[in-house]
Amino acid sequence: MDAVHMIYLATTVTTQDALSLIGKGLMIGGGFIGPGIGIGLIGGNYLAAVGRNPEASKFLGQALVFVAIIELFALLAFASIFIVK
Amino acid sequence: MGPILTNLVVNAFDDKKKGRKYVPYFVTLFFFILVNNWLGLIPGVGEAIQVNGLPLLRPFTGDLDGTLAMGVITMAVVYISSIRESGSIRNYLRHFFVGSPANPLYLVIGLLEMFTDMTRVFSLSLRLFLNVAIGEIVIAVFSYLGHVLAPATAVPFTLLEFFVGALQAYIFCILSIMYLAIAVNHAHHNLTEEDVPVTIGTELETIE
Repeated sequence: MDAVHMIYLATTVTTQDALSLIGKGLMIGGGFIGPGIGIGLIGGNYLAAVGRNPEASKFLGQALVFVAIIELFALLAFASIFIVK
Repeated sequence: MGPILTNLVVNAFDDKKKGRKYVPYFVTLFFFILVNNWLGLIPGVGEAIQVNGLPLLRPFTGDLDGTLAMGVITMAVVYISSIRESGSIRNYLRHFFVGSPANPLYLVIGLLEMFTDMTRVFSLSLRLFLNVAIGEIVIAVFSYLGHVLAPATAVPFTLLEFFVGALQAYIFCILSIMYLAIAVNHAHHNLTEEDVPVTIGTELETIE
């Protein structure tokens, strides 16, 4: 492979690269909306419950458990960046 | 941490004596996952020290192979315990189906429950692996962004990963305990058609 071929390969973006980049962007953008809303809802309901009845602050552990269950889906979207070529 | 975890495990079961049998496994699992997660945050562990292009030290839970093995063994414990508590495999499968499996609605619900059971292996192991591996990536990204000030920019995220590591160990154990408790508690009570609340097919009462 002479210099011209190498320069060509180093400076061009193939259609495959461009499409995979667009795909990754769409996955990240669409994939983080759901878990963000879900975790926000959990936080809001927890704070509303504590505001109504301060004894409800013992449920903080349970709320964090639900946050971690939801966060699985966000991390699956993030991990698929490294899987899509 | 010991009495807290022991009480957590034992209180999940209806029969406290049965619950005591499973305490050693879950306490071991919790401390194993916790220590492995935290050891991954030590500055030398990761891509920093490389031998032949591959990192020398990696956390066990930072690999999908490790967490998949832990998930498979945990669900094997759940299945084998619930089969043993129900008596036979037929009894164990019977408790997925409310009433009789010949009814198509209960058949579909039962099959869906069995499928959910099988996806629990992947959900447990993927949750742990992704949290630890992506935490490492985040710390690496923020160390790179602060070129000379890398020790300062990486500190907030290392603290976050301490918290996330402990939380994920707790969640792995809590979810496995819940799955085990659900399977074992129902072992002696087969749900029959009378236990299902009647919601369709009743005559509507007219309001006068």
